Amino acid sequence: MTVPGDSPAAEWQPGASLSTLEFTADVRRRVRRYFDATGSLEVVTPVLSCAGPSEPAIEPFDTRATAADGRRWLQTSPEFAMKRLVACYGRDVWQLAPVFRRAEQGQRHNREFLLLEWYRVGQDMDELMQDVSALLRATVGEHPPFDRASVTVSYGDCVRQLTGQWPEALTVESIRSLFAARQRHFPESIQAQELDTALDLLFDTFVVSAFSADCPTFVTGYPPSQASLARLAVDTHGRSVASRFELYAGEVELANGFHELVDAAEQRQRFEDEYAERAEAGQVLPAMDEAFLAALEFGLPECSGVALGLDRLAMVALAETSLDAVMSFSDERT
Amino acid sequence: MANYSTNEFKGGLKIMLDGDPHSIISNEFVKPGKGQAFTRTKVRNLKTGRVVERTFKSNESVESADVIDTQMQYLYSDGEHWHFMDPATFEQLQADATAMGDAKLWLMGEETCEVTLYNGEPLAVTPPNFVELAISETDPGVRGDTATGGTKPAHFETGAVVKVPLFIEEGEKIRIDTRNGEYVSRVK
Repeated sequence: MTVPGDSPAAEWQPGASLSTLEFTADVRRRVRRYFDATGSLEVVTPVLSCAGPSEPAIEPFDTRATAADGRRWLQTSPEFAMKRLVACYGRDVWQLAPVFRRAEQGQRHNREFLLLEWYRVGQDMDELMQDVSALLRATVGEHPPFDRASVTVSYGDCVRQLTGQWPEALTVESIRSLFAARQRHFPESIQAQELDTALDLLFDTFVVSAFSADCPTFVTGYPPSQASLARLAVDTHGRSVASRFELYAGEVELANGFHELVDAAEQRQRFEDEYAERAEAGQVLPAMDEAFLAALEFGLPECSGVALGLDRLAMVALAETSLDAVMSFSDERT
Repeated sequence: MANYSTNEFKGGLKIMLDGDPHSIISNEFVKPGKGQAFTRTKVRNLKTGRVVERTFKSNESVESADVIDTQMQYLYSDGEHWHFMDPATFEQLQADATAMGDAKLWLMGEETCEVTLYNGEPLAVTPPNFVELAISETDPGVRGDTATGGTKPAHFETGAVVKVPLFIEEGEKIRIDTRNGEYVSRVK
């Protein structure tokens, strides 16, 4: 049991070796070169904001600022501020942003991490996936699995191969039975209405764990209920899917991209649904980002955006298994 | 009884699952960037020794198990129970054959053992890694044969049977590794 304010035995040395720090510095140098060469503007947006994330699965750090400062949250993603820039200036923008997410700790999770986030005006999801591949080649292309061409799979096809059904036809109970048939444990606490939670566990347990370690894998066609900030589209089977992709290296999730939703009314509706879900679960309720919604109302050009975890990218490229080995001071050491 | 949240999970933590005490062997935080977080664990049932996978939604809480490991001295067996004493308080406890498991094969008296207590009752007994026992019965030694590497069974008063080199004699004391039940050396 950790007592608040209790400081563990001082671990003053860094987790990363000097050569690893040189490697990560080189990756950042190459990232900058890549965006310079492809005409994207490097930007810096605030880390502190009075607005916060709406997504129930993401918990922000509250800075406990005084009343005079106003309540401020540490950003969990720079996406809202960056999209305001895209709306205003219509330019491709990128940044390397420290982001903070509470309660995400493990070998592949650190509460503070470095997100490489960028937006391309006029690009759709497929073009952005090619852009991601080009960035990977330019930054870590010598290192497996980034020395091989990526494969792209669809979320729906993967689930159908596994269960015989499209994700939207599954229920928590049918997923529970599938776990039982395969002698894997499924949490008793997942309720009938938590289909997305059950799908997340199904996908991670049986699909992601089988991804090739030899090449990157893009996953497309997420269920509409997991669209987040992506627009909806219709796939070749006539199913409604989110225009969203995830990039994996083996079973390590590296990036998440969207063909951005530009409809302000729909975005407000999604925010309201997510805030209601947060309220219901007793989660903190940061202010809704009205400035972002105003930018959408003004008009966000057609664009796609992606966030890539740079610490994890280095971890995979160096064939390390924990973020601690590639960060100067991970959570264990701060 | 205290509860542990999944973010307090770590190796060695003792928790109650399905009414039995379990020990966490390993735990992994799993979370897709846009999705629900889980904690995937491997746990050992401390009653049966079985290792199983258990997955929890993050922030679920689990009841802690009142399980502690204590160092106790083995005293004697009455055939049905094995008696231990806490060297600090002189308090005595008795463990049954289930709790003893294989430990009963290696104990003659006075060995310090790790006794795992669940609700104050012995749940498992771990003998010292090495014990020294006198052979009560084995085939006659083959004099001078220290090179062929052959073995023969040696029987002990405790019921244990250990493979020993051919030159070992009945009545000799030998050192045994209790973790694999193998002969280590002669004791002079």
